[in-house]
Amino acid sequence: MALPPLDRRSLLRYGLIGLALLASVFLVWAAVQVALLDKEIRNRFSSVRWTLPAQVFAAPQELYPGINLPLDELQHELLRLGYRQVAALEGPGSFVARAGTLDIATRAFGFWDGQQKATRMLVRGSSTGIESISDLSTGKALDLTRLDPMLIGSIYPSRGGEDRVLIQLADAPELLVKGLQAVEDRNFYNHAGISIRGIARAMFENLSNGKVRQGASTITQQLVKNFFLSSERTFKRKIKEILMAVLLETHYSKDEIMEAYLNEIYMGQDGSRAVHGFGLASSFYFNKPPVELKTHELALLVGIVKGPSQFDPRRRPEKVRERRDLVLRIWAESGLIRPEEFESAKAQPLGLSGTGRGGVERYPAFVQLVTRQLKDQYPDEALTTEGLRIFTTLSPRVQEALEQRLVDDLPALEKTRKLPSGTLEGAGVVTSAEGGEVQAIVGGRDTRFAGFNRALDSKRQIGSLAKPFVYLAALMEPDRYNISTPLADEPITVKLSKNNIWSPSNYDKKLHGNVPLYVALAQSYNLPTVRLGMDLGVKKVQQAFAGAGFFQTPELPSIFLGAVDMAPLDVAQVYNTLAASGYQTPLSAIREVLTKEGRPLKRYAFKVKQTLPEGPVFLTTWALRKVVELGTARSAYNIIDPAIKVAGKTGTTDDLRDSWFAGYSADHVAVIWVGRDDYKPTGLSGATGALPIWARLIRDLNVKSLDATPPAEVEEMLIDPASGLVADDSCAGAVSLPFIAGYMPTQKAPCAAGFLEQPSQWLKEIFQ
Amino acid sequence: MMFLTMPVRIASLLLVSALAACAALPPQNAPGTGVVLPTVGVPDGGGVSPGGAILPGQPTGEPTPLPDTRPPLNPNLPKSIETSGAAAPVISLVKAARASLKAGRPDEAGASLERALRIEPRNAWVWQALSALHIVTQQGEQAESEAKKSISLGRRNPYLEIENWRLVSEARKLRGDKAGAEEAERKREDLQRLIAP
Repeated sequence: MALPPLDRRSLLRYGLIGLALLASVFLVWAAVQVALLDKEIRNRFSSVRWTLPAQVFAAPQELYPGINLPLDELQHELLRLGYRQVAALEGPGSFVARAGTLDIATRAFGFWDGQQKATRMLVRGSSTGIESISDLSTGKALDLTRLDPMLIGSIYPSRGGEDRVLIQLADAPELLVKGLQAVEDRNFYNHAGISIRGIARAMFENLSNGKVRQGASTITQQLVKNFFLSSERTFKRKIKEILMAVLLETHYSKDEIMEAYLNEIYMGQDGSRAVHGFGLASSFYFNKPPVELKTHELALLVGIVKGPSQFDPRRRPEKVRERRDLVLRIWAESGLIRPEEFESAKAQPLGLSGTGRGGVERYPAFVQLVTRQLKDQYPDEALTTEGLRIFTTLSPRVQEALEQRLVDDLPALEKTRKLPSGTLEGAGVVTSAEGGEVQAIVGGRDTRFAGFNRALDSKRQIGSLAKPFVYLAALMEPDRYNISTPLADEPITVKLSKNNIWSPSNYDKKLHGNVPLYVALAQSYNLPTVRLGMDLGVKKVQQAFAGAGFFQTPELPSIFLGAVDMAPLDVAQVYNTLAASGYQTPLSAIREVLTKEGRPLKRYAFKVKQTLPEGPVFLTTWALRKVVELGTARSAYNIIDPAIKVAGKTGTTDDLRDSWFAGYSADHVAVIWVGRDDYKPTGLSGATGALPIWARLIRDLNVKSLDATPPAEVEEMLIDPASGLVADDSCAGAVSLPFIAGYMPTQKAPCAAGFLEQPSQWLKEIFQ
Repeated sequence: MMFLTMPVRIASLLLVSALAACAALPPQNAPGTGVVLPTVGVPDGGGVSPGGAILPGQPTGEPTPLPDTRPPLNPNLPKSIETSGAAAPVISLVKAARASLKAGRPDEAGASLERALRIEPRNAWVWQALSALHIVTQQGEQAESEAKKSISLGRRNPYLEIENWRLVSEARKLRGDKAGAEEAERKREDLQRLIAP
């Protein structure tokens, strides 16, 4: 039985209505989806277009006539900054070296106090320093200039962190922008975000293979993919990508999309750090900014866009070279480069920067300190996303010298002391004596390791490094102690608690009778130190430590011999206050912070506060000079020029677990620690482990001699060392010692011209 | 003989210690003058001068007229950083700092002075300029420490030191330490007399 026509019609109608309903539901759903995608993409693009890690810069190298920077070290500095050595000056970032001169084309740079223009200058100098600097274009002499600072790292989120160095389209090399299009998306400036032909071809291939394949993406699609999407390959994702690409094109210009692409595209991996964009890739692979890249270098970068893990230039140089040459061929064929340029570029080696990690991430231990100091003041988010420009105190020259010492000297120590290879660890800190600026940090013998940082976090007993603070506390009481006060080097027992008696002994297990105070410090005798400390009381010694900038000393007599846990950086702090004549400056690693636009945000000014009296600090430094001249560190002058006065102290802990040396010149404070991570004895004392490393470092740094001039409240007097009494010219072997004025010894030594005759003669004149 | 020896010994002891005390009481305890008497015109940072810049027997206590027999001042003593033998870049940075401060940009002035100190960390004139800057920015504690640092690096150059005591006095005023400010002011006046023609 046939259905009535009406019923059939109504069925059809209902069906159509149903279909229309379904279609409209789908349309509404689709519209909502598109609107959501639209919102997502606009949010992403406009608000947080890129997460920009803070960029961390070293201190710029200052250049002025008279600086004691040997010309070859300046040349080395230029190479470290990625300057190219050429035969005739090219653009910024190049230099010409001749005997006694360097022509340098410097890069422009936005410093805290303003923009410094790119300059072409002539530097004359020698192996001792720089004699003159002049502007090559005007011939005028330059008083003072500085090189652009080295980018030493960035602060990016610890997990899956994206790192990038922003570049603007206007600043990007033309060949990069055009070359990218030639290889990745010829039709970029004409299409609407997608290439219909490309999609059709991909679909055909996909359908015929039954798999979803990569490829045929426009630059816009690639950008979307980098922005939002995982690398999963499904039809759904592909459709989303196409939709977003079209949406992106409706909201933003081609130039904006290109600029975003240049900064967003994934360019490689460095441990946990993802290298994004051509700005960072340029320094990561070539250690120079994009504007200075040559044709073959640009071709390499454009080549690896296709797949940075597949085309990792450091791991697969052969494959990458093929890819680079293919890019060069495409460029030549499309007329972007001339045939001869193609030939010469093709003949070039890859030209990757020597260090495995390019210009960034060279000094992880230092960047850790910077991050810590910043974290107190900026939220994580600001540090990892806002592109702050952090200007630090790191001196690449000093850092390199310190690294060199630990890298070379620890294995040498292991060899000469017959220790198992690889067991010794070490750490070091160098600061500027007056400004308290941290100039170098090494956190372990693997100087590129970004993990455990011994310089900041390995708190170990400091042994005799504590002694100067006991003697300083004594010298702060000039009515009781002076530099030559005889101290008894005799056994002493200290009752720590009911059943705990402490009986320290000397390192050499010998007794030395009565010794002048400075000799007890210079020879690092334990017994007189403990006696002195007990006389003064623990509180006074704690106060001396606090005045120097360390506040966590336990209230125990054992601190006199260094039962205080301190990290090398803490030690650098307290010795820095001694080096700065008692003026305490909290050690700082940061000078300035700028916004990503280069606007000054914050300056970390010098902070100086007199916390210890100058006279007693001078006397302590004087005694610490004797440590090096005649005491436990005298072997240092086998390495350092004896004309250079330096002060310092050896430190050794029980069973030879820790070997320390801390000391200073007029311009640098340096602390070295050597020991084992498992706290096992090393067989090294402060004098045999850390001291030679310190001494070579001081030699390499070309330091300035300590100023021997006493401050106003200190006077020198001739003393007979045998009796500790006032000497005169008739005393053989008399030494000139400094005293707090007003508290000089008055009693004359037996060798001196009669004590009695002189005053009585004088009295006779008055009374007769 | 015995009866004479003891008093002689005591008298001479007293004399010697009195002389020593007069000669070089630390500045903070010595309202008197005479501790500052330059014998050599050492610029700054540079060479080493012997410590014997102290005139023994200067009176202490409240300001007292100076004896007429004081040695003449070294005519070569620098009166400003420009004549102090400081390196050219240091002088130009100090000048730049002055200009920045005049233009109402103290932060920039501070940056220039610190840059100068990185070149010559022990230049007393630059520390003094930094102290003066912090008086302007009302950072008393900082200013006092810097002025004192300048005194200690200044090798008893009275021209430098007079200004430093003025700064110390200003700094103490800023911190509300009136007595301390007056004490510093007295030191300044004493020095002023010392160099008066």
